[in-house]
Amino acid sequence: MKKVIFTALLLGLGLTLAEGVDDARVLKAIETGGPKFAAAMKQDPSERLCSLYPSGLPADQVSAFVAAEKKKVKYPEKLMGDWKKGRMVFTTPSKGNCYACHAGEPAEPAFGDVGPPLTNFGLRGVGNAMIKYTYEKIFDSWITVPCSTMPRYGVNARLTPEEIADLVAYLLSPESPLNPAVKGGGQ
Amino acid sequence: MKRALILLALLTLMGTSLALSPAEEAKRQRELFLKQSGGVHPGELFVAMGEELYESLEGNGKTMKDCDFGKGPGVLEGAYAELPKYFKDTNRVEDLDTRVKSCLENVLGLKYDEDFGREEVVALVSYIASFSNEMPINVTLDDPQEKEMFEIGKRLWFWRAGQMDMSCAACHDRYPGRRVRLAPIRNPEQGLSDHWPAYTFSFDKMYTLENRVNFCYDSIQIPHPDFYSEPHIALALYMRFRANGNLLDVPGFTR
Repeated sequence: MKKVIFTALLLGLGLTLAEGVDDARVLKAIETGGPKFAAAMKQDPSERLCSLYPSGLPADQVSAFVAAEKKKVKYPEKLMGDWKKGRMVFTTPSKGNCYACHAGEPAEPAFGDVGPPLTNFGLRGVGNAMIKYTYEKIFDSWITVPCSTMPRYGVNARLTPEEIADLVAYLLSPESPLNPAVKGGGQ
Repeated sequence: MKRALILLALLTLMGTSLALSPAEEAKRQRELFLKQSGGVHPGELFVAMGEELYESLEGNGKTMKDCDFGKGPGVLEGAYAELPKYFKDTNRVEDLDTRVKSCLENVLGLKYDEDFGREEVVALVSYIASFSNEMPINVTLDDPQEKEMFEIGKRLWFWRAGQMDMSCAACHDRYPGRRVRLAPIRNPEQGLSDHWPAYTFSFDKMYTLENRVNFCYDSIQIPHPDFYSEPHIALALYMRFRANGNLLDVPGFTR
């Protein structure tokens, strides 16, 4: 029971975490972890907001947050790249590592379920709006879901715009093995 | 051939365990591997190594029995269950890793990296922790420094950073019960930290909670904090406080 109350207190009511201890003291603690750790723990303003409001941003801060994220997106010449390259990006741990959180091709049983399954993602269609949505979702997931657990692959340069375009093709192309239920898919 | 059989058993295990809760799945994995190692818990070897060190290390005319791990000099029973905690002699909050190091440095006058190193600390942590096996975690925040360290731990727990924008909470509080690849996600209340120090079969090493936190940070692309630094003590205190009442399962045996 104590734990339930504790969690409710912690996560409820949009409390900010800065009330417990000031930033200077936290940063001092981080410094003791060494220079590499301290450098990597530096936050951009959006990461900071997501950290202070783990149960969700206050409603009056959402639109400014999303507007700031939208400005960060960079687009390649073509938003639909090469699905075969995208498949590599999807599976490679140092790249997309998408199976950590998502189901993908039906033949791959070792997938996580933190995010929704992406099997047959192509059933959503391949119109320009869908292509743009998918590209932006991977480049900066926080545009559609502020503070989502999904990394902002493009913003953080974990993936290049071209690699993200290849992922878009892997997710949407009817030819992609991710889309066996789409006509012509799975081959 | 034996390798192939083990792999087959592993795959079977994974295949049949998807419906189990994270705790049940962890238990199944542990039982299977114990069976395969002939019932010998490799963690016990590290405990034995720690015992030998505990009995033999000396300096300044003192032995480790002169060290106070929170229950008085030489008292090991139940000490780990109450760590991290504030220690007057060092005027700081310490976890067991840090406390072993400060005991060897301050009481026995030994030098880290010369007279002893990380391996000795891990063995000693395993040994001392084993005296709290199956005891309930009982971490308190009575001292102002404990309270402050807890608040730092809470900030770090929710601190999103690095190339993956990740924090501990982004997975462990949002998605307990789900899986990253095949690894079950647990929150502190579900026993995230209850079985450390543990023998980890995928690395064939004994790991303390500090090692485990380092592995977490490395896997979210944040170079891990130094051993014995405040982030370790703060996160251990935060996780263990949330797990108060859970029974310690040490030395643990895990993936």
